[in-house]
Parts: sequence; C-alpha cells; structure tokens
Amino acid sequence: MNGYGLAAAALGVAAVLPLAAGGMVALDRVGRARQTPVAAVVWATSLASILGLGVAITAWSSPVTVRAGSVGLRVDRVGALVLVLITGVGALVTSFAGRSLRGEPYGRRFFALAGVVTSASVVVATSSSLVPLAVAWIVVSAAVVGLIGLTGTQGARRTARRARLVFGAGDAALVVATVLVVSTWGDVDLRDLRLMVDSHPAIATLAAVLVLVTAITRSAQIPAQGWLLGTVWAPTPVSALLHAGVVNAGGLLLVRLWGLVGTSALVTHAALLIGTATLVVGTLEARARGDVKGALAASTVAQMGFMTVGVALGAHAVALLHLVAHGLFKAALFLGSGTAVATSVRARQHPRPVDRIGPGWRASVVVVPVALVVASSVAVKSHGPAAGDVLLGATVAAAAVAAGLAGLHRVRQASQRAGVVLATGVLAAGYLAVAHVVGSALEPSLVRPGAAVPAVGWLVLVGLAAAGTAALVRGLGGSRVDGLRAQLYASVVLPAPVTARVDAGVSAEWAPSACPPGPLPEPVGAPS
Amino acid sequence: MTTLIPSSSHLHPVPIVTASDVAEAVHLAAEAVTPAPALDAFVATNPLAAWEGESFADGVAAAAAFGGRTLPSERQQRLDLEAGRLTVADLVGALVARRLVDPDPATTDDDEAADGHGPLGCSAAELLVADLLGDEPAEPSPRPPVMLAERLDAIDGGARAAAVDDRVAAWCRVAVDGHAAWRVPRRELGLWGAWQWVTRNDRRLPRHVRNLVAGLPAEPAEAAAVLLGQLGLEEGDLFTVVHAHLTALPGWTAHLRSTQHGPHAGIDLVSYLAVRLAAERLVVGPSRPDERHEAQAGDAARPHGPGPDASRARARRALSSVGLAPDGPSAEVTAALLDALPPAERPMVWLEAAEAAYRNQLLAALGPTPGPARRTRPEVQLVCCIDPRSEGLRRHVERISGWETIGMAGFFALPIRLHRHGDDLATDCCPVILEPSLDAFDRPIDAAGRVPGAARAAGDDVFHAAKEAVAAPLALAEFAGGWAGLHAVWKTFLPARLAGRARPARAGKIDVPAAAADDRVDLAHGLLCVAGLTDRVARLVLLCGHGSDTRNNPYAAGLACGACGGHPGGDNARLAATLLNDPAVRRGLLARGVVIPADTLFLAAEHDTASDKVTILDADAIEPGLQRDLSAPLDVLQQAGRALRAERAATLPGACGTGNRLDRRMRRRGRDWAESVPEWGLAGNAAMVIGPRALTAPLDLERRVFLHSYDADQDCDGAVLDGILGGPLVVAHWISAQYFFSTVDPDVFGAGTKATHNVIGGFGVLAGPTGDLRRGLPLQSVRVGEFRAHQPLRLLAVIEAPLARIDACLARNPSVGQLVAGGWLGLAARPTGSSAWSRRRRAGWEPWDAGTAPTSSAGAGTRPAGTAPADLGTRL
Repeated sequence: MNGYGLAAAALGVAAVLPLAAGGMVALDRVGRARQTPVAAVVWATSLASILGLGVAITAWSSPVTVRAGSVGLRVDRVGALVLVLITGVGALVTSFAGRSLRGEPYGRRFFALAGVVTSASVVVATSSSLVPLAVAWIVVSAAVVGLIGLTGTQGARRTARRARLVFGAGDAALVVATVLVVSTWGDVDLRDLRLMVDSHPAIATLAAVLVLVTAITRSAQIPAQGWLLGTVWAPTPVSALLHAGVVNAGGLLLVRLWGLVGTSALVTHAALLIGTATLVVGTLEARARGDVKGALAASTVAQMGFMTVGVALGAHAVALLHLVAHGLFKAALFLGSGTAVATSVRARQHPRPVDRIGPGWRASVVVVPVALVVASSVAVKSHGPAAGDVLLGATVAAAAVAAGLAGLHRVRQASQRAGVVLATGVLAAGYLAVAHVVGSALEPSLVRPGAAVPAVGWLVLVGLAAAGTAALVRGLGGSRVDGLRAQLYASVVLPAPVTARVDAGVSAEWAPSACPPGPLPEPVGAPS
Repeated sequence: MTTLIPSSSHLHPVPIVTASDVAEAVHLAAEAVTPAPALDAFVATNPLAAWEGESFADGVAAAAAFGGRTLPSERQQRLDLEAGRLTVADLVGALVARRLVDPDPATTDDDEAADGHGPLGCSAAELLVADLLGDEPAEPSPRPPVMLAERLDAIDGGARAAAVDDRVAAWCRVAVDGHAAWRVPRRELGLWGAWQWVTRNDRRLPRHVRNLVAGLPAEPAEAAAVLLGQLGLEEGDLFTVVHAHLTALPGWTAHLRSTQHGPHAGIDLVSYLAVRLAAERLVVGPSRPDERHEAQAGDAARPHGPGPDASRARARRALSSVGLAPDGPSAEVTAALLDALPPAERPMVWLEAAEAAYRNQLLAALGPTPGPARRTRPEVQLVCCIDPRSEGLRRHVERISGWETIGMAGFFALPIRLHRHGDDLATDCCPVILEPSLDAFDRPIDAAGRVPGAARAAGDDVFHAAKEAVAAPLALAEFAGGWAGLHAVWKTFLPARLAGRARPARAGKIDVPAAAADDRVDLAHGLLCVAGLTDRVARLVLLCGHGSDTRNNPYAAGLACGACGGHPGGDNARLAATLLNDPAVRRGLLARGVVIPADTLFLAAEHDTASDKVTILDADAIEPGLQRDLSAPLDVLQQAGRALRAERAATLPGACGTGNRLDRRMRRRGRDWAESVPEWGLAGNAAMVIGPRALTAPLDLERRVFLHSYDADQDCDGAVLDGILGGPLVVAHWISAQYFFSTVDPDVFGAGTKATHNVIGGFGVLAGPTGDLRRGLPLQSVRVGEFRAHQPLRLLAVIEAPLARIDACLARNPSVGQLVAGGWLGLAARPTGSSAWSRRRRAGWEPWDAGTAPTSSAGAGTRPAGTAPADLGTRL
C-alpha cells in the first residue's frame, strides 16, 4: 500500500472513528471496565485529528480519495484545510468537556452527539458528490438540535425548537435542490457541476437559490440568526463546537457548490446583501452586549456575514482563511469565557478612558472605503478571477490599519507610536502576503465564479455602512435622530415586546380602579 | 417629548399610594434579599440574612417566598440514613429534643403505658420514625401568586409572569453596567428613564402603548405609584406587591442592592420596580373586569392546609410500615400523634438529627485536653488562617515535624487597603464586616520603581483600544485566530506545561508608611495577642496566608481567603512580617512586656489551596541580621503539601492514578483551564473550634472544621474572645450558611452548574443569554454528579472557655447572641479541658447529652459515608 492508499484509509478511519466512539458511548458499551466512558470519545476524536492532519499533509500535494459504494470522499487542498479544522475542534472540545462537563446528567449524550457531529461534518466537508453531502448535512442538523437542547432547561428547549424549525427549512431546501440536481444531471461529482448547469439554466438557478437558503440557515444569517444567539443556553463546549465548526458549514457549502451557485448573478447579489446586513446587525448587537457569551455569539453572526460576503465576491481563498481563523479564535474565546471576571479586574485596575462608541471611528469609516476604492481600481485593471480576493483582502488589511490607528490614540511616546505603526504595517502586509500564498495554493481546488463578481455592490454597501456609522456615532443631533437611535437599539438588542392582548382603543376605556383584583394572600417571606 | 403624549388625564387615575409610600415600601421589602457582592471579591453571605433576627425555623419557613427549598430534602436525608451519615437513634434523639417522644423510653415492654397512647402495639417513637422514613416526602410550596400577572397565570395557566421577568432581565442585562461598547441610549436618565425613552421609541409596539409609556411620570417613584394604581393595587397591599416584585428576580435585586452605595451607584431599586411594573402593565394589558373577578375567585378556591383525610392517610402509611393494621382502632390515635409533627416540619427534625450525628461524634472525639500547655520554645511556629483547609496543612506539618501551629483569621488582624504598585484602584484585604483602616503600599524591589511588565501592559492597552475600533472585527479573527487556536489546543492537551506557570512571585515589601510608630506597635501587639504569641516565640515564625490559583474560573475569588475579603492572604502576611521584623516595633513590644527573641524571624508565606504548595514570600528582603538557611522548613512544607494532595485526591473527581503521577496532576489541577472542580474549597465545613490546639491536635478532622487558637488563661477580660466571636465566628457562619443554602437548593440559592455560566460585566454570571443573575455558590462547589462534597449542616461553635465569660461575650455581641439563641449557630462549650460539654440554648446552658438519646454509634470516624472515592472520576 502506497502513501496515498494509507492516507485514503486514514481518511476513512478519521471520518468513522468519532461516530463509532460516540455510538458506543450512547449505547453504554464502553467505560464499564475502564471506568472512563468519556475517554473513548476523547481518544477517538484526538486520533481522528491526528489522522486528519496526516491526510491534509498528503492531500496538499495531490487529492486523497476514498470510496465506499456510492459515497466518495475526496480531500483536495480546500478539504485539507477544513478537515484539519473540523477534527481539531472536535478533539479540542471533547477533551475540554471531559473535565468541564464532569458530573452533568447529559454528559454521555454530549459525547455521543459530539462524535456524530464530527464525523458527519467530515463527510459534509469532503464528500465528492451531492447525495452523501445532503444526508450528512441532515445528520449534522439533527445532532446539533440535540446538542442545543442538551440541558433540558426551558431556554434550551425553546432554542432547540427554534433551531429545529430553521434547520428543517434549510434541510428541506437542500433536499429539494438535491432532487432537482440529481434528477436533471445525476449524482455528479461536485467539480463537474459547473460544466453541466448551462444545459438547464432555470433549474440551476432554482437549485442555487435553495442552496443559498440552506447556507443561510446554517450560518445564522439574517433572517435566520436568532437560533445562534439562543445557543448561549447550551453548555460552554457545545457553544465552542457550534461557533468554531458547525456554523461554518454554510460558507463551505456555497464554496463546494459554487459551480452551481456562482452561475447566478441573482444568487451572488442576494448573498452579498444578506451577508452585509448580517455583518452590520451582528456587529451592532455584539457591541451592545455586556455578557461575554452573548457578545461572542453576536460577533459570530457578524463574522459569518463577512464570510458570506467573501464567498459572494468569489474571494473563496480569503473566505476560507477567515473561516478557519475565526473558528479557532471563537473556540478559544468560548472555552476561555470564564476568565472574564479576572480580565475585568485587570481592566478596572488599569482603566482606559475609552470613547465607548469605539476609539478612532473616523479612521474606520474613512480608511476602509478609501482602501476599497483603491483596491477596486486594481481589481478592475486585473480583470482576472482574483478580483474578489483583491477586494476582500483589501478590506481586511484596511480594517487592520483602521484598528491600528485606533490603538495609536492610546500611546504618547514617539517610540511607542512608531512601534504601533510598524506593527500595524507589518501585520497588514503580512496578512496580504499570507492571503496571496493561500490563494495561489488553493487555486487548483477552487471553482472560479461564473457570474460577475458583485464588486460594485460591495463598494456601495461598504460606503453605506460607513456613512451609517458616522451618522449614528456623531448623530446630526435633534430628538429625531435620538429617537431613531433608541429604536435601532431596541430592535437590535431587546426581545420583541409582548403586545398580545393589547388592542387599540381598549386602553383608553380602561378604568383601572373599577375592578380591584380581590384580597391578596398574607404577606409572606417578609422579614420583620 | 410632549409631542407624543396625549393630554388624556384619564390615563392618570389618582394613585392610591404616593411616591414616598412606594420608596419606603421598596426600602423595607428589599431587606428580604441579601446584597450580593461582585464576583471579583466573592464574599460569603447568608442568603437568609434578613431573618437572622428571628429563629432559624421561622426564617427558613418565611424564605419560601423565593419559591425554593430552604431545608435539606427528606429524600436526600433518607439516602444519608441508608449511607450511614445518621442513624435512627439520631432521629429519635431529635424527636425527644422536640418533646414529641418521652425522653426516657425505659423498656419496650412498658412503652404503651409510658406513651399514654393506649394499646398501639408499638411506641410513639417507632410510629414517628416510620412516618419520617416512609411518608411522602414533604415538598416546599411554590411561590404564592401575588403580582397581577401571577394571579392571572394561576387562573388560565398563562406565562405572563415569566414574560415580565424575561423582559426585565433582558433590560437589566444591557442597562446595568457591563462591558458593552454601545450603551443604552439616555443612560444618564437611570434605569427607569432610559427604559421609558427606549420603549416609547420602540416602533414594534403599537402607537397607543407607546403613548401610554411616554405619558408616565419621569420620576421613578411617581411612575411606580401610577402603575400600581393602574394594575389595581388595593390599599394595604403595597408592601406585599412590592415585595413580590423585588423577590421575583432576587439575583438582580441583590446586585442592585450591593451597588446602591458603590461606585456604580445611580441605579436604584425604585427605578427597577418602576421598570418591572411597566413591563407587567404591558404584558398584562388592559385585562377585562371578568378576568379580575376570576382572579379573586381563584384565590378563594385554593385549598388551605391538609384536611383530615390527608392526616388519616398518613397514619395508615405509618401503621402499615411498622406492621400494624392500617385501619385498626389505633388509626385515630396515630393520626393525632402524627399531627403533632406536620409534614412541613419534618425536614427540620431530619436536619437536627443529621447535625446531632456529626456533633456527637465530634465532641466525643475531642477528648480531655492534657493539663497546661507546653512551656518549651518550639522550633518553628506556623500561623495559619482559620479556614478548614488549613486544618489539613497543620495536621500534616505537625505529623512530619515538631512545629507548633496556630490558627487565626487570615488577615492577621490587619484591616488594610492595599495599593499595589502600578494599579489604579486599591484592594480591600480584610473581612467585609470591617472597614479597612490602613493604607498599605506594595513597593517593588527595583530601585527605579519600575513595575515588571509595564511594557506588556502598554501593549495590552493598545490591543484593546484597537479591538474596539468599529472596523476591527473584520480583521481581528484573521490576526488572532491562529495564535488563539494553538494556545487553546496547548492548554487543553498539555495543561500546566506552557500556560500553567504559577502566579509570579511577588517581590519587595509591603508597608504602612502613614502609620505612626505607636500605631505600628499597636497593630503588632494586637496580632500577637490574637495568635497567643506573647511568649515562647520560636526562632522562625511562618505567617501563612492562603489563596487559590485557578484558571478560567469566574468563582476564583470564592476559593481565596474569606478573611481577606475574597483575596489571597499573602499580602496581609507580608505586612505582618514587615511589622514584626521591624526593630523599632520590637522595642515597642518589649515596652509592653512582649519579648521577641533577637534571633526570631517572621516570614510571610502563602498556601495555594488548589495545589497545596506553600510559597515563601519576600525571602529576598529579609534583614541581613536575620538571614538563615530555609531549606529545612521548606522541605517540611513540601512534604506536608504532598501528603495533603494525596489526601484531597481521594475525594476529587478525576484525580486518578497513584504516586508521582497523581501528585503531578494534583499540583497542576488548578491551572487547567478546563477543570470545573479545581478544589473542593470549604465544602464539608460543619464546626468551628475555638480553643487550644491540644484540643484537636492528633485528630483528623477532614478539613471540615475552622480552627481558631484560643487560650482562656491568657484572656482574663474576654477581649480576645470578644473579637473572635464578633469577627471570625460571624464570617464562618456566613460561609457555612452560604454552603448550606447553595447545597439545599442549587438553583434558587446556588448559582447552578458552571457549564452554562455566562459572565456578565465582570460582576456576575447568568445561566444563559438572559434571566436572573445567579447568586451563591456554583453546583460544582458542593456536588459533582451523585457525589456530594458538602453535607448541609448548621455551624457548631465549640469553645473551651469559662461559660460565664462566653455569656458575657455574647451579651456584648448581641447579634452573635441572637444567632445562637435563634438556632442559626450551635454552641457547645466547656470551661476546662477536663470538664464535660455543655450546650447553649435560648434559656441557658444545659449538659450536652441532656434530653437526647444515647450517642449514635454510626460511622467510626468523622468521615461522612458518601460515594466511595474510587469511582469518582468516572461518573459523567
């Protein structure tokens, strides 16, 4: 057996191992003898992550494939990147949970479901055709609903119901899309979709819209973002698994099916609009939340919006880079969310007179649009398929510069200021270099856009967002803007007010003192 | 603002209460909720502190307003009985103490006559015990419906009250000072004003509702008065309704109470009440008259108390479980007998029995103390905190070496406000009952006064400012993701290797520069008197504070030293060592008759209770004349730490393995960011012994007992005992009460499981995205799975001192006297080491064994029989 044979076997094992361990935990088959029921899943996911790393390294030079019946898994460079993320997060989260969920009544179920999610996500990320992908996708949906409702508290159950509805809609859309594609072209290899869609453009567009719907539900994009914010009811390791792994699947689905999705200008523009709106709303909510996990969840919504924007722009390499980095970042932040008390003590010991709206907001609303205009002229000149990459890379680098300028306000000494400027420049340039290297490395595994990149749309939206921010931050004054700001705050941050049973007209007639509610019970619990 | 308000005066019926009535009712009703300090200085409180002026039994009954359990459940107590933590004899003893059973059940043949219950065929005690063991467990009654929303819910099973709580909690979450960058609009108007402003602009509400909100008075008390009128308040019900509102989300009330006078003042409970009432007004809507009458009817229909049927059924169950005919002629007599002990009072009997089981064993183990204390000068003296965890350290140190150990409150009688170099805010390092009277300064040893890590702090500062930039989220994940992810992987799979370096050792000296020479001598003298170190001072005196180095743990401060206000005690020890090594202070002490030998060195240390490592502090700063080789004492401390780790590992979940492997795991345990139970803290605490160490010395008290050294012979005027009863004993009682109620109802009085905790604003946690702020201890402080680390018992104070002196001290500390009289705190004492124990009752002293059954013989040691430690790590 040569190296590729070994790698293919490893891929198969990595895909099945977590599921098998999870199943054994669920069936109570392990742990009696060794007295460590969780260790099975921790070992299985850890081994899967090591195998995944090996497969990824092999796949970097040439794709690794494994086939069992009609299920084919193929790891190309994109798959390698995502495989490492999925198996790594699975191992990280289960190992963490082995200690942090000790004694929880739902512990066993957590490990079983985490194994299922890991295995099924590997299939979603690496499946070479649509049918196994759709099946694995639905398995992930079911397992995630189970994870969200794990604790059985009222909030958790409510969120699980909500997630089931949203995922149900997404799954149904995916099933219909799969049926459309398979009945028209057969269960073709995903790479070949691009070549076939021209034969039935109407069906292709319909399927693309459905796939976009599926991606939106999984990635918590507007209007389906509510379920993700409710998952704060779930235990910390579940949040880490969701925010680092599961939500990324929407973006990955779009990248995988770009041969289908990218041919429709309608879909790419819709995705851009939805992604931008999600980015704005998520950012606003994240800035308004004082609770650590709530702010993290809202920020995930925003980051997923940014990922969708990247995918819509055809900047798949940059979007994938973002997806992996954000996944690792969020896993670390959620698992470490207990440090917030210590951090707040430190912050109070060294108070910063921060402009609460965000220091250097001017830098943000000026630098980013200006950089984009410059970048777009470069992109237009290049005409190449990398126009989206240029635009998105420029956005990220400009945001880094804007953040660096904000940080510059906090230091006075010339040497320190020089240090901040230098660090910002090095980071921004380094990012662009990394994005370029990753972009060229992933190029062979990516399907390039068929429709025009909605670059102008992105420019317009960023301009609007910058203007909106400026207007909100330094409002034009007057109670009108104040009222708008309050309304925006209420609708972004506060739950919908209860208006049931209140109908116009009644309140005016209501005479409160006419109908006293009767005697109250004795005052209880009152200290004398 | 006026543009939106319709000038319809009928929306403002004349309120039947005035704004000042409301403010006064809020002031009174809020007393029911103990203020909860912020998590960063976690200080134990009794959640039922409001009732400490009454008896314990009345307090736990009244606190039912929170809708929670206030006494250990009968179900749990029955399991404990099976496990052997208490016996039937203890139950009988508790019944005897309540005069429900004849104190002298001479013989079984004679019991019918003795009980006077006719031909029952068995004794009253047997029937009552059968009832305690076999009847349906008594369950706490739910929170009574008082608010209009609750009363309407009670009729139609709606969820209005939950909707009100939901909206109010969501508002508190954003409006109470947190870390958010985008704050509530018009925050300066206060909780109520901002709510009114945001709500009247919230176009998701119909216009007439927004007009209604806009039309309410801007002054919170007036708004509350108007809203109370609109919600149909009846005259005389004001207090009851306000009380129901303030106890509906007790966590937020507790937080707002604790911040009313602090730096975040401005959010007052009247504003909070106004928001609650307005939310209720919107949720309930204009309810129609017929529904309100239904609410009235619903009240009347509710059953009150158990009827005669329930009483007979209970008798039948008891009779059949002792093997008698359930419907025989004795049924009526039995029912009458059992009615003397209503089901609601049974948990109290169980508690008394469980306490008797532990206390009888403890007092029996505390045998007669050998005559006068040793007069030789010990090699080393180790002064530890009274914390039960110090008991383990002291026991092992004594076993290994010939050291003398001493217990005193871990702030070393130095109520300091510590200014650390480089910190902008001072830290209060003393018990919360004291106001810090000394400003202490921590000087770095570096002559230039540079703070180590200043450059890093500046870097952090820039990073945080950059992170808050509007566009930053677009770039942050890209730049921080890789590093954060690798770091997380490292911390999870290799905990404590890279990330796990212990807290950097502090260097330099702490001093109180402003204190006059005389004051410094006063402080040192006071410290030595409390510690009993006025003669026979050893050549080396280790002043050992304690802290707990844990990671990723919002409740870290709860594991630190309670006597230091939830901070590590090392800094107080450092100041104590500075003072006592000062030649000028020693000269002053000599003038007061306290001789400190010239070769005596006082050295500060800190015991990390998570790893049981004892670190010597300021070893670099020892005066030249006192320097010496410290390797021998360090060796003793290391050995003791290792033995203590092995001992603690037996009950810690997941601490498996043996030998060096286990020891390494235990040393690193606190620094593992995934660990939800870094240590058991003070779980298990049940008593406080105030007396010479000889009283407890060789015993293994299993880290369940606070130990305060006290020598009655050296304290003729009772001043030292006064201080102990008024300070450390009260703090120990609060700790005990917090553990008690957090164990009894982990969801109402405890903070629930850590798994879902969501830190908000650095001051508290939520158990999800919204809801009530959690109070008390997390579940993982008292229990993991089926293993219960804490048995809820009230604290027993055991004092060896003349009874008359104790009485005098209680009279001088009336609040402590009330705690004892009210049964919040047990008190056992004996005047000398050779006399018998007496028990303090409300009426006076009585012999310990009076009126109770013989000492239970269950369980040879004091170890509670719980789950066998071996299979702990595996229960998940």
